[in-house]
Amino acid sequence: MQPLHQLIFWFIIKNIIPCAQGHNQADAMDQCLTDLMDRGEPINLSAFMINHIGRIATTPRAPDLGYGFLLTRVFEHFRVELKKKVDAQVIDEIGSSTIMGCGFTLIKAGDRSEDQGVQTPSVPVPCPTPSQPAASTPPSTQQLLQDEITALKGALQEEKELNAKRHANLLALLTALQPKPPAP
Amino acid sequence: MGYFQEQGLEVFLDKMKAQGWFKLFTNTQLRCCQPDVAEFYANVSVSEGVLTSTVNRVLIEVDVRTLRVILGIPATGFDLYVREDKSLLGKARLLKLAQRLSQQLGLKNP
Repeated sequence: MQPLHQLIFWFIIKNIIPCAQGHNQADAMDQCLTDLMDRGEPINLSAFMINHIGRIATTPRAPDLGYGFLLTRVFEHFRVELKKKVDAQVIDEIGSSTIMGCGFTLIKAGDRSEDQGVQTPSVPVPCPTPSQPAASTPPSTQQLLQDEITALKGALQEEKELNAKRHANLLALLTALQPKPPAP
Repeated sequence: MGYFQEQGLEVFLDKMKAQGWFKLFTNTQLRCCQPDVAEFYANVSVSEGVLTSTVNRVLIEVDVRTLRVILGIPATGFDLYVREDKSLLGKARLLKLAQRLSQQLGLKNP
């Protein structure tokens, strides 16, 4: 999976069909939702919530109780007197593990504001590889092609760095919104 | 949000917008009440698409349409929940998925 797919997958398993901690293998359902979201095809979140809550309720070895924030919104709608509300938390663990999980290699650890620019994606961004110049190609053409390759490499590196930055920022945003109620 | 857009994060944000989830998942006013959520799960039952539970002695009864209104999200689109029986997705669909996600269009088996 490409980093963007991995990021969508991460969002899916945290928010759409919340799974137990440690779930890091995309099964057919996860892949399907990741693909639909990537292609902008509608996903019926309400229906998934109902089905998934039903499954959590009937599974003996229940996974994490998901949808904490969304359910609290439902309780408020029904005017339930709530015991203790917790604000969205910025959880520090977005650092290495989540980012590496999305296909990045962390070079230098730091706080969240600093570590945005220091990752290098380990997963190569797909890029058409310039074909090898044929043996009969004149030297000047070869030189031109070499220059082009160097320029492309530079652009690719810039793109990689930008990508790493984007993911780190987005993960920070998503982690802040991630509902995490404990098991009862 | 402006900051995230400046950083070129629109790709993912646009995908959330396309689903109609943007407002819900970027609402920083949302709160989570863990004991009540646990109580909800302890009492919940699902029958014919209706969730029923009680929290603090208040009866909660929601279906897809009620959730759509409360959360302000669309209630249309893909809704095939196949946690256990993956065959419902169909082999052809699984193969297409694998091809797109792995970016290997020549793939023959999912």
